[in-house]
Amino acid sequence: MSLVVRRYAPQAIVTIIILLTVMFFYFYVNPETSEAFSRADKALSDWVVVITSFALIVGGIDILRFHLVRMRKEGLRQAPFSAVTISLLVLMVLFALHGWYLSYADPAAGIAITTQPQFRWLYLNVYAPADAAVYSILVFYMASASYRAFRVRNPMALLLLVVALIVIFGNTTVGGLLWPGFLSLRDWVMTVPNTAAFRPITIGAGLGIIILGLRLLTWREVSWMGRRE
Amino acid sequence: MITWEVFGAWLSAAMVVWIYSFAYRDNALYKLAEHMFVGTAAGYSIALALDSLNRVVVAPAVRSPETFWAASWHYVIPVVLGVLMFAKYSRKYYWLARYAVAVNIAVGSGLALRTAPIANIVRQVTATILPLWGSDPVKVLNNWILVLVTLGGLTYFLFTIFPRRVEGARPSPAYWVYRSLYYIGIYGMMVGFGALFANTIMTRVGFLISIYLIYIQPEAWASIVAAVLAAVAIILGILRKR
Repeated sequence: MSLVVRRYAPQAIVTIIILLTVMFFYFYVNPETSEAFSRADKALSDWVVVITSFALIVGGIDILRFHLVRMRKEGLRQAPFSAVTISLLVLMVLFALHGWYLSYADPAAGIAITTQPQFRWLYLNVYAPADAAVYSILVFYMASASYRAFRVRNPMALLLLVVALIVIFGNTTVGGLLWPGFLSLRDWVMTVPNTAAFRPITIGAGLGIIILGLRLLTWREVSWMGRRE
Repeated sequence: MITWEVFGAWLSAAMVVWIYSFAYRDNALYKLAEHMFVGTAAGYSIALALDSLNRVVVAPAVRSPETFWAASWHYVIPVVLGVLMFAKYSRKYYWLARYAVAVNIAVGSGLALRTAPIANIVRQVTATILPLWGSDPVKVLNNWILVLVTLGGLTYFLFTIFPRRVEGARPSPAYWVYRSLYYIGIYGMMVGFGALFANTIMTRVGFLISIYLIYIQPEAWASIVAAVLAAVAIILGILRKR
């Protein structure tokens, strides 16, 4: 296929959609155009939901392929673990499909994809506790990070330490017991210096978004297209 | 009697212990829990994707086909684009997947370009235009801090061309202004990062406490089993090291 179909047409789609979504948002023509734009805008958002859903399915299949390859390459050392991943993935999908089927075959039962009993059991007893544990295990690593961050080597580190202690004591009941002023001091830190510190970062992020949009519009940003010809 | 509910409680307690055993050392039980987590997470995300597809396309098309084909027929286009995403597995037709990605990228960027100039720039700038003189000294001080730290942060991040200082000559006023704002920005950000760090610690500790609450339950056996599993995980870790 020619480069036009492989590269330029997708890039043209990006440019046209960005231009239309931004232009009709900022420039008011008449009520009819505005209403049509709102409808098209809503439809485009739904399109993204549909396409993202397919992308998630592709991602799941990628994990499946990855573990199948690992089983073949790494042999018995990895095979049992990869088999666990693959079987749980397949089981979750099968239960979800069963729930989907029941939602049409027996609507009175009130069972849907995410409320299928076995699916929920796996979600509540495997996924949810593991998710919370993985998230909270970082507290052990943060303890060592805190030790390194809170060593006072220069005035900046001292400031970081003092502010972190104020916020921690202000957030906990023991801080209020030690000195009631921690609460109001924490509020001041959060509303004045903290707001001011993150404002330039927010402005920088905004400029970054605009620059990325302009790069997409001018076809300079091509990393989203994946492999190069 | 061991019901599925009891078994589930045990399994969830075991998952937590297995994952926490990594804080000591990598071991087989941690690896098992990790792979179980990845499998269920991938399955869960696929299920959520199916649920979204069902809500947006399938259910309206099945339950009221006339309305769907009259008003929402265009949903066939993203479905076709979505199916094209599977072309990424083909060496010859991988480029077809770009059409779906193009729509997603464009809509995401379009939405971001609509909101970013107002929310990220205009509102932040207008919120920084504050009165620097007045009768309330506390408010005035707060306003000075807000303005100077914001300008300092911008100086540090965005205006990265530092005024040169010629050797032997006195630095220009621009140099001193720039240098002052630069350091105010750094110290201001240290305050922000300190607060962020503290909040992150608080969140993680909150999760840790909520996890420990799993073990405070009437079934004492679950706690004993969890302790045994933790011991097994540690022993496995030691054996693996040898």
